[in-house]
Amino acid sequence: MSRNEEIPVYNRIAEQRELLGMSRQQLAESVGVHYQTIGYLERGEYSPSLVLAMRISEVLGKDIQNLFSIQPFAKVK
Amino acid sequence: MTEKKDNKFYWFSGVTKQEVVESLNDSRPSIFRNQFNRRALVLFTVVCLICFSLIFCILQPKLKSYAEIILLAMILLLYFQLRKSVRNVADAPDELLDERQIAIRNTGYLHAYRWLSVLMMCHAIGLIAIFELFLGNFNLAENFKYSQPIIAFCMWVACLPSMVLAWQLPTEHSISEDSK
Repeated sequence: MSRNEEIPVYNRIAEQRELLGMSRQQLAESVGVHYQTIGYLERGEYSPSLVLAMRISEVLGKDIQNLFSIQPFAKVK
Repeated sequence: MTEKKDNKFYWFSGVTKQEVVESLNDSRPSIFRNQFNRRALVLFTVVCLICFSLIFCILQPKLKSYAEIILLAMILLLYFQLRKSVRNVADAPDELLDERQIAIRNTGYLHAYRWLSVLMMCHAIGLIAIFELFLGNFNLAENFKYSQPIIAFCMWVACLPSMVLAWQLPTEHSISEDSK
């Protein structure tokens, strides 16, 4: 159900959310989406609109380019 | 008064705000969270709708009436179950859904419209075939009642968006996993 099946959008939502000690439900409520949508986003099964990506970045306190990318993020040990 | 205003009824969608919100936030386990079960529900609805369209083949009037009532009741029950199985996403208005849900609902409608064209053609070919086969030969077409195929077609129209979504949507992840 991705917006664009061919170009996946990689993200670090789960990482950043866990760092802030936030649940998916809390993040979903903060950005105004259903909690399942956060799950879909984190699993890479859905690519967000620009507005949603910006809202998530704002809530998680990260720049959008540090949170979303069309290139896979390098794994941090 | 406020409660009444809060529970807005969307005439065009045929759902209430409360119904959609409750359905979207429903964390109770259901057998229809699973794609296989949802697909079984879709197939069962398809079978019921096809059977309803073919009721005119039953010649015994009493049996025909019973079959008509039972199948219609079953189709209506299945229609509401289908809506529930996809958390009312197929019928919900934009303002109650988020962007992902709107996207899947819209894609569902696109596929439903395509299937509707196929169904329309099948109904048309079926009716033409009946006329060609029976009209003038046995005069059966004159006694042919159109009500069942028409009602079945209306139910196809109502059910298709939910049927498409129920078929397409993957098995839902457990609530605890998605909301943790």
